[in-house]
Amino acid sequence: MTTFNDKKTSVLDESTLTSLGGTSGLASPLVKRVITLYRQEATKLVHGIENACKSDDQEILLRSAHTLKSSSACIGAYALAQVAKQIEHFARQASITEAKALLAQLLSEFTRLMDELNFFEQKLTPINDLA
Amino acid sequence: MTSKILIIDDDPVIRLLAVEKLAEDGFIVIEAEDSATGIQRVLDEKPDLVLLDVILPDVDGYQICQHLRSLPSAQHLPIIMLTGLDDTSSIVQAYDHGATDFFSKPINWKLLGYRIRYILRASRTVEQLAHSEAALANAQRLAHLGSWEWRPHTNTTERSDEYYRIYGMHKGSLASSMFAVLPQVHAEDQERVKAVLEAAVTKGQAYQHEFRILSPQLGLRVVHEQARIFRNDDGRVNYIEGITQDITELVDAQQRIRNLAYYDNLTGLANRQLFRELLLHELQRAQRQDKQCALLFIDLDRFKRINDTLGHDVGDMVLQIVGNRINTCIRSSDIAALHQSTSGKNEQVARLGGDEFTVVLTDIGQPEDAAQCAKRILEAIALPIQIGIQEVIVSASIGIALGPQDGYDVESLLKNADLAMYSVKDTGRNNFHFFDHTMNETVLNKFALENDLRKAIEQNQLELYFQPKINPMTGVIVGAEVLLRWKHPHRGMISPVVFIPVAEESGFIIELGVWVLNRACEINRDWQNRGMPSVPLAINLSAANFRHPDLLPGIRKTLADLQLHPDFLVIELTEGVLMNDVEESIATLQALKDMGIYLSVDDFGTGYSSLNYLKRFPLDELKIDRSFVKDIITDTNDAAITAAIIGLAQNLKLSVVAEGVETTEQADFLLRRGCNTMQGFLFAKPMPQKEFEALLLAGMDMGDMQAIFMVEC
Repeated sequence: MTTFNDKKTSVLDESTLTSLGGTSGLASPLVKRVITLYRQEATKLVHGIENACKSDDQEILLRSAHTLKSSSACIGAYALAQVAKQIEHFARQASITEAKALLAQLLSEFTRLMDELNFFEQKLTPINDLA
Repeated sequence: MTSKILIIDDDPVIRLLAVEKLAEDGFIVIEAEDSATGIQRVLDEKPDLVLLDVILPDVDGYQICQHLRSLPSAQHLPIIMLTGLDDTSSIVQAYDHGATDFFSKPINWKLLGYRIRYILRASRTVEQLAHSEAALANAQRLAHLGSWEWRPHTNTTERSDEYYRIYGMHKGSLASSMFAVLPQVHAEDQERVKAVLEAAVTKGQAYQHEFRILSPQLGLRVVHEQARIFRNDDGRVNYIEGITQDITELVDAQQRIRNLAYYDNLTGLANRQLFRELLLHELQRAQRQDKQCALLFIDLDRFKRINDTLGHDVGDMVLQIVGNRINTCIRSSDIAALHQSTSGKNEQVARLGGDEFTVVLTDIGQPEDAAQCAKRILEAIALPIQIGIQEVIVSASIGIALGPQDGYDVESLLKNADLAMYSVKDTGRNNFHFFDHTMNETVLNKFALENDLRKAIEQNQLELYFQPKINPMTGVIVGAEVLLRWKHPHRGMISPVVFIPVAEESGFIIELGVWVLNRACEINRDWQNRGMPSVPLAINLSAANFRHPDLLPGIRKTLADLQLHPDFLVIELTEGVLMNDVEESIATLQALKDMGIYLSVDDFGTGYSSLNYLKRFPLDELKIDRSFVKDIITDTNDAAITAAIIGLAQNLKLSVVAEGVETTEQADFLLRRGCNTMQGFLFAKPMPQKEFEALLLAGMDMGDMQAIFMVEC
């Protein structure tokens, strides 16, 4: 059984994705479309955060972190959302240094998530093929 | 209808989910990734609801929200701001910037669908409410309908704008109490309005009434007010809800309609419709109050000939003039004054159409009143009518029906008056007839009698008779009552019982009364001139004579002209005459008394004299009515009353005379009780002047009567 806390910190919460599929669950084509779109957007945002840290652009940092946070939470990528939220928090406080300190953790969580998503997608493909 | 949702969010993942997930719930979702696009799409696409992200690449969501609110088309647009779950400050800001609601991320799409549906429904309700409020306010303004809610325990009133407009006041100038409008209410209606408001508060009485108000701008207005009471659970009045409507125009319009509907265009008289309503009303009233009304049906004689020979224009003018004359005849009578409408129109007179007119007479005392009125109308119509150089002479036939005896309803009374009118036409026109033939005879008879009576004085047909007043103990004639006799040339002797009422009704009684008084005084003067024994003569004065302003100067002049001592004149008045207007009676009696005239009350005991007033009247004599004297021997009550009257007279120091004494037993009884003056057949009947003179000269022959009294007393 997954507790609330477990859910919040899991790399990818499958139940969130499943619920996006509505009555069809994971069989819904929407799940795959969301994952594809998320992968594109998240990649852009993570790069955006990296660049903002380099150029000390607080504004971009704040917005990218915010969007990454909410997008990630949306699909159940709670671990990444959590790190993005912390970066957003520091960015809002203009504490770029503290934000930068989290960059490595962000990249590692991102990599973990991408792996999970790939793995997850493979689970979906046969079902889709069958469909 | 599918609702259109606009999502403004820079996150394509959220937008994708919004499009897909909300579509599942039946919404059409359109997207915008930045604020500029978002605002443009609001204007172009007119979404039903906007989902707005707080953080956007260009401007933040709060500013967009505020901007949208400033657009007239988006003023009431529901806007849901998407905020972070833990971000309470952004929730507060969202509301501050005009957001309808917020929804926290991460978004539970199912829940959001329900939320959107709820907000849309609420928004539609608010919109409909605003619309119906506006429509209601508009309708109330058009209908001049103000509404209010009054809370008596705080004595505060919420009033609509139109309410203030009706009163020509504004919120600042009218105190919050419902009673604050009272000074604006027409003085004659104030009491009623106040009472109704008080009853609403204290007794919880709903009401509905009309009253007049004075508006500073509009002047006199008529309003209709209606109130409903709302109670607490414990039954006490909680608040009172009401409407006040300005119905002035309605009332005016009704008046105009009434004028058009109820009055004849040509003559301005009441038309058939109003006539029927009035007659119905009068008939019902007459039946209810046991009174009599009369309907005069007037038709011009050969009117068609005027139209045919002189043209319709002349005909119409004749009708106008005739209508006017009839109206004047009625208006001059006292009864009519009560029925004058405010417009000066006399609703008693109507033109039914063509040359037919009607008159409704109310509360007529007797059929002759109607006949008198008909006569006046005939005389008025008969006067020549001058139209240009033309002189037109018309006459009319009048049928009279009396309600309710000749008809209980409008139809039958009208039909019978019409029948009576035709019987006039049949017998030569220019006259009036009653529907009831016996009435015709009675009335004609009375009119003839009245006419003859007027001639009677000139033609010397009237004669005074004398009935002596005797003292039975001595046989002395102490006076005489003067009675009037009419020797009619064709009908022979006519009793005063017949002709006095006719004289009274026609007013001729005044002339007659004066004639009798003068004649009596002249005779007395003559006796004294001739050296005859002379006695006081008592004359009966009618109410009309007694109240006539010429009474005192007339008598004064007669006595002066004849140089007759006032001791020789006795005036007899009935109780009824004296009691009519007590104060005036006392004044007149006192004036007569001061002149030295002897005053006597006739028929005492038969009227309704108050003993209290009797004390105040300056009288000299009481005459015991013949009805008591008649049975004093057989009826102990009459004996007791007679004895009491004698006792009363003695105590008040008044002389007492017994009338109608016919037997020695009666005379004996009266003598024993102390009544020394008597009148009656036992001694003498009323007799012509010559006979009475002879009696005065010879003295009474009492025969053995005197001996009987002497022995028994």
